[in-house]
Amino acid sequence: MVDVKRLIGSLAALVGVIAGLIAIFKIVKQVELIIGFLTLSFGILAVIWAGAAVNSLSKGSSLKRYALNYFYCVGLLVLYTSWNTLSVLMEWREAGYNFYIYPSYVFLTLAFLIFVSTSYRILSIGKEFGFKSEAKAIQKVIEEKKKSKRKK
Amino acid sequence: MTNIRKKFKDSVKDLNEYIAIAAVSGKQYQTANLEMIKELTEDENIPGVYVTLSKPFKTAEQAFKKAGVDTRMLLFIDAVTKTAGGEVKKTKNCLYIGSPQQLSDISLAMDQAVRALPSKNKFVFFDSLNVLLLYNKVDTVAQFIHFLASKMRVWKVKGIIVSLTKDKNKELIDELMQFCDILVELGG
Repeated sequence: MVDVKRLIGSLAALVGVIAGLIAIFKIVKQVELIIGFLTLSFGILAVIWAGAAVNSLSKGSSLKRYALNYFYCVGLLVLYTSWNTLSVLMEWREAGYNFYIYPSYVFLTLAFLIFVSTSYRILSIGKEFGFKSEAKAIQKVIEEKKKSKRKK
Repeated sequence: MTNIRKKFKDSVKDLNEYIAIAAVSGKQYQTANLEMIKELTEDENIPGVYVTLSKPFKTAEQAFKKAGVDTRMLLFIDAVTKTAGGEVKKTKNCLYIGSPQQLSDISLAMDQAVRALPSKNKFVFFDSLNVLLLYNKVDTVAQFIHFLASKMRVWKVKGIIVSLTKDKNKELIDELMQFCDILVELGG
């Protein structure tokens, strides 16, 4: 059965998003700014969700550390987008201010550095929590037992 | 067959998948655990995940081997042995979580271990509710067991959560029974 409450909620969210988009397109005429604002809104949502995940996970757990790294990555990407959007808004490029470009490089480089450490962390989690080889050994034991039962 | 084993077997015989709370007296604790594991790995010949919060893996493994349990049928998750820096550590037969408070890691480890088991029939043995209560708030434990019970339904396993038969646990066990199928009272 369809969950009516959930469906209404999803529809309301969809209408909200469409209305927001129309408003942005009406108010902001510049495509670069529109893309900037849209990217920022998704980024902020990602930061909020990652933050909520960090808060709900157990203290000291591998997952929490991973979520925290991810939170920093998304946060830096949001900073990068905010800075770029601000530069378009303030028309720094047109004014010939070249300084605006360097902070965005810093944000992006830091984000990728943390992405590397996050990827390494997820690799460690995969190694630590993976049970493939143990499962193969169990499979062998089960088959052994089945064979010996048949013999009996 | 011992009385404990018979009682356990009779209690769950009509159930294919279940979530049982096994209430055990302190005196019978070790024996009851061994008998239940023996029943599952020997008689039913099914592999399982043994989550230990009460005894370190090495002690539990020794006791199992001494009692004739085939430990090769088990994946161990040890949340009681302290690891360096409280980090997760993996050895050949066991995944050490580092602390009974790291419920997120325990859940993740259980999920991975259960899904890795190469059999349609499998079990999860959680030892024990009391130790969880020593390190976590009652509300957190109730929430965790609720989560665990719903996960066990998804995994389609035989789930056994061991608890000491103590008066102070009675209320919590009553509350937890709404998520579980059966209360098996073994000894004491």
